[in-house]
Amino acid sequence: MTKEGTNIGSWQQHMDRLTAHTLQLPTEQLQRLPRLTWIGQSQLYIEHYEQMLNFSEQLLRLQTTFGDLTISGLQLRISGIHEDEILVEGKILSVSYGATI
Amino acid sequence: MPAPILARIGGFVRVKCVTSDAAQLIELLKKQRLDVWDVSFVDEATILLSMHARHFLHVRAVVKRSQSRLRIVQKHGWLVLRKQVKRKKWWLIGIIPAVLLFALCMSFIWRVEVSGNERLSEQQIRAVAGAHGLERLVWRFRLPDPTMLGKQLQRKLPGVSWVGVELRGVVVKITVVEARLPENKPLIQGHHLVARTSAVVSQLFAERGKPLVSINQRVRKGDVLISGWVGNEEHNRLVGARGMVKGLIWYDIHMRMPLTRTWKTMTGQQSVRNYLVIGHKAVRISAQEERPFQRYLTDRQSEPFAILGRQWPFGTMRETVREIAVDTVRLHPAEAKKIAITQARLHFLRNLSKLRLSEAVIRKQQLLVQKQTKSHLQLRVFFEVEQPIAEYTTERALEK
Repeated sequence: MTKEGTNIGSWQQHMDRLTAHTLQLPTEQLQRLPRLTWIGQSQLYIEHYEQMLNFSEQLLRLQTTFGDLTISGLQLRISGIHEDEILVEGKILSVSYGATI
Repeated sequence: MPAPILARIGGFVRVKCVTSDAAQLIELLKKQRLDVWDVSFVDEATILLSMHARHFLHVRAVVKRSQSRLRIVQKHGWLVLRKQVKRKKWWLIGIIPAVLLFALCMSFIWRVEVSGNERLSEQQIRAVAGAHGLERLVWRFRLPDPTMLGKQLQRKLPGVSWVGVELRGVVVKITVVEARLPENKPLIQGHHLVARTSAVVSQLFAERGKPLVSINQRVRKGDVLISGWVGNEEHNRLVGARGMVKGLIWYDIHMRMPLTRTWKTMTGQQSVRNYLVIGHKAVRISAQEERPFQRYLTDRQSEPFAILGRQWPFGTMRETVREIAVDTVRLHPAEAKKIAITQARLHFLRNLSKLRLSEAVIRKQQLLVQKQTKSHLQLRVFFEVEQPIAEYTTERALEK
């Protein structure tokens, strides 16, 4: 079952990649990859996140299709939340994939 | 981030929430489609967040499930406004009559200004304007059209070429342009034409009236030349004399003419100096010897420094000193006589034209005496001049 699912998933991913390539579409739109817009050090706009895992003044962890996204900074606050978009403000020090620093 | 527009209209609240897991709470609310924004920490366990006022009860239910507590900190939008309006109800109600009163005051004419009048008095203009419904404390909307009103006032006011009526808010400006009336000259009708000087009548033309003199008749100063009365002794009428009378007058002129004449001529020798002008002071730039000539004429040409059409108080000056020689010429008596008579004629005619006798003509000229001394030529010349001699009597002398 798992194997089949993986097969289907990889086949779908393959098709997505092929479509994106032939039609010259942005890959992140089709594959729902996270897209980050970091303005200076104070604003970070994240699209295509799936779930918020952790939120404190120094740390924000988001689950994405690509893996866990860790944002660390000072006096972080969430200015706006939409369906799969989030705007983080504060003094952002680092953005990384994987485990907590 | 500022609150969404919908939230501003519908009202939103800022809420303090004590929670152990902020991320879990946000996720819960997101699943319930309850929008929140501006999430920030007060301390580790307390967050501040904004939400729609209508969502508050739903959010409280969700929060209770996650074992957190809620407290409203601030209220924004229509909700709050409605409360404020309720509190300031009487103040707002008071504004309405105040605005109405103001509008009422603005609908009256408060002042009528009159300008441009010189002969007409202001009261006179105000009276006429008042008769046409333009005065103080008149309802503005009942005022007739200003252009029409101006024309009406112009018709009613004497000696006026234009009247402008201008409505400026609560002030009406009446501008009057008075007609330029011709100068009130006294009538000259009924006058005789009399002789200005003693003369012999040479030309006579009576346009109106009865001539009392004839050509070649000698008249004295003040004699009536053309009478303003026409008709005989029984039937007569005053018409006022008009016409032209010319007479011959003799002038005896004495002249003394020097037999030497001096001329100034330029020798062509000149020296040029340049100056720098600052304000009213000039400083010589080029060095040259002191005035090299005995007699000279100086010609100064200053060139002020100008930039963009503006003159500055400094510039340069060029001074040209030209040498003059004085020549003395001794005249032949015949030549001296000719010059003297020509100049006398010119001088004489110029004087007559100053007396508004430009029609005067020298008819005859006679040299009476010619005497020659060592340095001068003495002449006595006689001019016979034909010139207009008639003038109106100054008072209304109505004798026949």
